[in-house]
Amino acid sequence: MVRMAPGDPFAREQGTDPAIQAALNEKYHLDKPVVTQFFYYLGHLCTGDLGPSSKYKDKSVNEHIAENLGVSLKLGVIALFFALLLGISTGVVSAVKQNSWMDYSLMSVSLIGLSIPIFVIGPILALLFNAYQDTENISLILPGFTLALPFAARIARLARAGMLEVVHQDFVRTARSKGLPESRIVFVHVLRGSLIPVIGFLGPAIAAILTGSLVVEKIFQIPGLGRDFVESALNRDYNMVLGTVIVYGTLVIFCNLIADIAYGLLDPRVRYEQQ
Amino acid sequence: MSNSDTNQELLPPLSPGQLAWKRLKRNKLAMAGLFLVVLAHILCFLAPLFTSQSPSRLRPWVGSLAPGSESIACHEENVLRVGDQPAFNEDAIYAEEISITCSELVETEYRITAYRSGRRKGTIKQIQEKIGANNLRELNLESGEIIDVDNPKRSIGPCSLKIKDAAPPGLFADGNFVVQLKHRDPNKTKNYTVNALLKNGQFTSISKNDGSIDEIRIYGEHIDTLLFDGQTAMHYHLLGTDPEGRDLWSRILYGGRISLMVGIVATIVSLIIGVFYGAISGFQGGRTDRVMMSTVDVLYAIPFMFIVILLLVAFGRNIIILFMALGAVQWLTTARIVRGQVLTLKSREFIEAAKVNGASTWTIITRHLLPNSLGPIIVYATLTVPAVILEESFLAFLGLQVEWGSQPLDSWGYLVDAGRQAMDYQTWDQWWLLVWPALAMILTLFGLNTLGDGLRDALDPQDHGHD
Repeated sequence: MVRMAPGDPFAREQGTDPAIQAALNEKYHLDKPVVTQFFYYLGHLCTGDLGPSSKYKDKSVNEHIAENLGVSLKLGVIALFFALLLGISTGVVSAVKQNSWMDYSLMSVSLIGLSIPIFVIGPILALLFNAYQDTENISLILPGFTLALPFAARIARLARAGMLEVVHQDFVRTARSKGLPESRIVFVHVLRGSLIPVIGFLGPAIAAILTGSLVVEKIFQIPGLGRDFVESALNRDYNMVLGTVIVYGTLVIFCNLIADIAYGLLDPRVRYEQQ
Repeated sequence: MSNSDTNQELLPPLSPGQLAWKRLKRNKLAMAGLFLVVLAHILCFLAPLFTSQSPSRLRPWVGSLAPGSESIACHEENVLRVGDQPAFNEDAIYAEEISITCSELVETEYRITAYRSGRRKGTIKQIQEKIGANNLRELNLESGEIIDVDNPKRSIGPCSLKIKDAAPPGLFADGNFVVQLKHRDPNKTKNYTVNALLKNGQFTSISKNDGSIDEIRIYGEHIDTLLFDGQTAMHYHLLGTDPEGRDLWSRILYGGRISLMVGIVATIVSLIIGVFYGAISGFQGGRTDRVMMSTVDVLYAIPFMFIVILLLVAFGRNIIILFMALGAVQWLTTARIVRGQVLTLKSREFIEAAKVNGASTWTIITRHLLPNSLGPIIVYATLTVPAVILEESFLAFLGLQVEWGSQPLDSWGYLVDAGRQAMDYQTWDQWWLLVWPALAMILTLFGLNTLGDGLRDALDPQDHGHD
């Protein structure tokens, strides 16, 4: 829960903004000293109440987040799926064919992928697939794909490096000398080892995907949480900002937990270390 | 290969730096990256040498021109006054005679009063040509441009107004209401020529339609031709202009300054934090190290852009805040790398020797440990710069453009966003506004990324492709 802390000092910082009218101040407890405000907020938070929004008067922050979180979650999951699929497959292919033209071209493409901002790719993809944007489902897949590209590039490079490290280890040589088919060696023995750096990257990646979703939601006009966050931050809608940050914080902690568990499952060394 | 090996024996031994440079030179991709990066820095930081046009002066009547177009080299408001220097552009100072032909649409101002109350439809009470003039019975504004003088953003279509008739919807609020309209008649134009003589870069005489005057103010949109000593004075727009008539080439160069500066300064900030954090953590070891490094692990998982956004919203979009915020976000990997370096170095003999000599911790870190881990630090710094540039462009894209004073600084991210909004996706109209800034940004980022990769390979050949 400590990770939510960064939100709090800004609540105090912004709570003192004089631009808000006195009447509103009273309603939102902004006339009280900042410390009192903070405890008010904590008190409500314990009961799961994120407070009223100062912009959307008809809805509370809870309702607003509940409405938009689903879209953002879906977007994030789609992006993560594409990033892993594209990234790992590219990484595996280029590691298996190390130093071939395929390896070089795939890695160059991944470098370009790292260099192109998603707000450039986004409109271009939107342009190419314009015809499909009518149906509800496609309209989230394309943004998800866009969001995935830079991470796919990162993951591809990590997976390739991980594969190359594992390929030269003894147990792979053993597997080869046993006469196992190459496909089994690659997919069972090597892939597992190569995934470790990828899983390690997942924590930061999830955080970065959230950041990216701010941009993607703006490009594709998706009514998600990221767009809300930016809007409310610009509008100084404190409760909204805090609410989204808290929800995001919880989400990130949860995802990291899952990533850590996956890490432990894949790499027994981590478990031994802890014992 | 064998040839170079034998050569190596004959030559004096190379320093690690020279060796790395040799390896880097062999990496074609990295050299291409280095070329792009150097080129971008030269073009952007020496921008005034490569463009004579202002990146920020608005010339809205020029509009967005395709790449390779020309526009008349004048400003929005051009004042010619006897005894003053011409303000068109630098070339005007060297001219001896300036002649301008202008054509201006004839403008008429109208004042219309309407009365509207309750549910009753409003009726027009009074139409006057100019304030205080006699009333008109009827006014036809079917052609030409109609501007609401008090509220220029309100659009008014062609309309015909008659006393006692209903007022057009949307134009009038409840109660007595006055609208002042400016009407530009396309059928009536006012043509005139202005001739001005200069001596030593100052106007000595100005004449309008052969009558001598002391001062004249000409709006850019009215100028048809502009001649300096009989030569047409034009701006050449290599990459076109944006909808406000600003030259895109100079906007990209000056915008690159902002982007590169943010990248470099924020990287330096992140290096200062990361290097010392990592060095202290690695050098102290033990529990300090464990606590410091698990803090880094925890911080890794936080979506930092949110915090940067909050900081920018809370403290204003000052560029200094941005440097600090982005730098404070980027130091994590540097800290890890430096710690790793320090850990391997600190058990080496020369550190022991320094300790025996009584060197302080500070001296050991700054004089012995850091210089020896410079390689990885440089590599990571090269890779941080593009990351920071990307992050800044994210922020600009989200509408959190940086400012200096209260003047917005248009970085590449902002230019790309503006281009994205201006471009028409069906017809590719105004494509240059998106394509050129994006290309500038992509090439620079690509250059920095490949250069960073190449440096990593060159400085540390065993450590291939690590993140």
